[in-house]
Amino acid sequence: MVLQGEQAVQATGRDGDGPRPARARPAAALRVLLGWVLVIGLWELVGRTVLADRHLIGVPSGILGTLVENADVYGRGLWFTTREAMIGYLAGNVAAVALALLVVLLPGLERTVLRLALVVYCLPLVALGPLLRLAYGFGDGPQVTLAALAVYYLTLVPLLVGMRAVPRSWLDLTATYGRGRWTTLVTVRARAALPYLMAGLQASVPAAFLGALVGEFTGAERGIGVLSIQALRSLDTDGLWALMILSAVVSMIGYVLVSFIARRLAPEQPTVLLATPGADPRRPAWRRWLVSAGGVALTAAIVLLAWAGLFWLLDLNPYFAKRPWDVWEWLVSAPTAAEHRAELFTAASQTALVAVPGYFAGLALGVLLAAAFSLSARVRRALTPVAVALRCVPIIAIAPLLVAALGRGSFGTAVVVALMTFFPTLVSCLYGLGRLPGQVADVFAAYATPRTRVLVLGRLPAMAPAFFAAARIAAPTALLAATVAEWLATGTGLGNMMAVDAATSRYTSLWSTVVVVTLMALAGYALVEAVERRVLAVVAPEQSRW
Amino acid sequence: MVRSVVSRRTVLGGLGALTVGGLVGCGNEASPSGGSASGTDGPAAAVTYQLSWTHSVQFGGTYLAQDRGLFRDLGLDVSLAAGGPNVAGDANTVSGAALMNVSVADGVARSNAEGADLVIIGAQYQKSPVTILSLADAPLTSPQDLVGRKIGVAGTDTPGLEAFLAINGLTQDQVEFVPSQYDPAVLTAGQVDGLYCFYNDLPVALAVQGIEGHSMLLADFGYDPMSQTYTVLRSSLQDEARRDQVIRLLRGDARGWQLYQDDPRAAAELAVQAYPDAGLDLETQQEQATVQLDIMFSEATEQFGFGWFTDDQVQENLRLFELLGIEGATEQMWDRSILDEVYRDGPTA
Repeated sequence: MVLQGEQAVQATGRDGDGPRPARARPAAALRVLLGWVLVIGLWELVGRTVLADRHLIGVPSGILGTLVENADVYGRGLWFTTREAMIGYLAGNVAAVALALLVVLLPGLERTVLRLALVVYCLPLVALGPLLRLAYGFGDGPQVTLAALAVYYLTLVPLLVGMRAVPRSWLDLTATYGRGRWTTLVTVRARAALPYLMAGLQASVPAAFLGALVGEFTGAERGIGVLSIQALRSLDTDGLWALMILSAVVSMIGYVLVSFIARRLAPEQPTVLLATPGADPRRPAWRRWLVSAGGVALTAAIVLLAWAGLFWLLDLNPYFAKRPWDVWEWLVSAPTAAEHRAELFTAASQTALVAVPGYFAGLALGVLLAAAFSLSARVRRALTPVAVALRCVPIIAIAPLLVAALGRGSFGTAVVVALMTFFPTLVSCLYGLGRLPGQVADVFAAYATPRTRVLVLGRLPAMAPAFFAAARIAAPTALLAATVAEWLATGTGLGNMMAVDAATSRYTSLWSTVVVVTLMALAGYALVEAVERRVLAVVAPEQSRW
Repeated sequence: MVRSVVSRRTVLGGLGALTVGGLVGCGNEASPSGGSASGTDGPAAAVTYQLSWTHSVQFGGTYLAQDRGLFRDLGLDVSLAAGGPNVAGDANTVSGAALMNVSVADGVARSNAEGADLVIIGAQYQKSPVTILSLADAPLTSPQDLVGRKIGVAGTDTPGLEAFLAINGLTQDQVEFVPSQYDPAVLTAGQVDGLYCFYNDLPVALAVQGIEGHSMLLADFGYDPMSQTYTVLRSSLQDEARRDQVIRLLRGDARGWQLYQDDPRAAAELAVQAYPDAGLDLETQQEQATVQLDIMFSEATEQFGFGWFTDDQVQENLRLFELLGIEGATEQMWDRSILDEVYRDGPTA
């Protein structure tokens, strides 16, 4: 459960609490135990009094009873879903590493690869699910694929940031020895990227589980997803909560395991990353615009080709699997295209009004939690399981509870979006806070600087690259979360539109909406990237080139 | 050196196997017409039958047919494909992944309006299961009771509720629509006064949890889209071999439901036993099995056979489509010739 951030803190030995005296341990354990008893007691009390018969929350005694009663069914379901999640996790992360290697060896491809990765990442479940089922038929295929898709982007983005987090002098050194990109990659970049890779691997554990779980909504016969639909509709609140707790426990185990490996693999202190800012000759504005426009056109061409080509190769029926030209007709060339565009525009603006506040709320929540975790080990220990649970549980399972607590207004939906997006930010920022170079930490220590001041002056700037990696991931995630929140709570926007389109077989409209969602995600991503470039040029100039 | 070559080959071979496996898997499912097409003597023809939701006793008769070998006796090797929140049943039939699916008339009409050519050849439900569920201490018993109330309805069902209001002379602004999914907790938590759902689903869950509810079937107030329809591609009816499979599939299924009518509780036990990973609760399943008898069997099924539908129903559905704003549907969307064939010698399949 100890994160990389804290590892760096304790490594300096002066900044952290230091090891506790042995005799204090039983007392501390007792305190923790009492804390748990208190929380569970309160939970039970609230569930049996204030919220009795409302079926908003399960109560601990009921959950325990259900767990015991259904041990074999739940156990098998958990195993199926965990297996799907593990295969997806593996496949997704291997894909992420492969893509990152490709970019390092051919840096010119970076923006194209990232844009393509984004397009694939933000395909909504409602369009992708039935398609995967058609392509795979019976079996685990869709679940595993969705788990992999939920994962690979979370690893790819920070990994690329990490590959660049190297001092200029090291690169000069390999260059002096006449070595190429491969040697640089193996000797310098791989090591530097390790903490960032670990951040991605850790953040993607609960994501893989959730991906597999919702993948089971596509007509699977077994697994936690299937069981939770059943529990949801049977008003079996205790059963539903038992399933969610099992999901959280498994995700937590994976998370702790990766964190443990991370501490073993990357124990060293970060070094000062010296790089001269703005060393790149500034090209004239028109040339930069031309290059960007060319990049966008290239991405678009690849996406369209892959879309049409893949559908053709898999021989997907055009009734459901619409091609690019169908969407073009719907949005541009058909006589009613103007109406379609107007309808989509209205929905898109509604979604933006949910997604944008939710995005910033999610980022803020992630950063604040990371800061709190790095300042207090107690807060971290208490809240990490909650954070993991919120990330691996499908939001539909706690929708009535959230609505009861937050309402259906813009505040409520923003909070829902924040809850669905903050986790990668939290993990990435926790690692980022640990990127304070050892020498700088020593300086702070020599002057006995208070921890909050170290945080503000040292750790937050060191966190910048990791933060922006998270901010880039959060852009498409917030958009997808907004569509889910709309489907659940507001009944407006692109989320509702996609659900209605799917239910009424309006597949051309559905695919057009998917295109709009993708374009919005790309636009949001580009905005974040622009801000990132300005800020990092000052705070972390090593990030501005390979 | 040799070792490295071998390992690379192994990896490549593994990758190849994976992709080929994926493609083969997809190919198998995409051709339901494989195997023998005629009679019961040859090897059984493999067909996929797409259900409308996750496994439960809702499909009890079909499970009985499968379990008692009724399909096998007719020379069919039937795979039952589960439905779910993200399953496009009609699309699976259109693409050929399934020979037949269980759908609903307005859904089929919408699919056809979008370019599908599906035909309804029977209806498991004699009455639409759509209901407005309320709590017994504040029951909603007639359309008028909805005025000024909050009704939970999924976005996909909004057109249905609107049509229901229009049929009963009410307007949309008289009722507050609350977006929700099929989660009865919004009702018990007091977030809505009524919930748009299905007669044999959430009301049963409520009853089993010991909560008294009231269920108002919309079919009793003029909104009665044909439900749990047997839906196939028109082209499947035109192709001799496929048509034969459809007849056998429907006959086997109807025989299963005849068994079900005699002993619904046995079907519930079978559902729980056949799908141990679906998380089904025996008590709930037995309750549901009994409840849905109301909407599945009627005088018409006694007289003509299970799955029957009448010309009046067809006309009523066409009028309903107009209210729902679905264009282009005609009587051609229904075809009773399969039922006629199955019940040639009386109302027993």
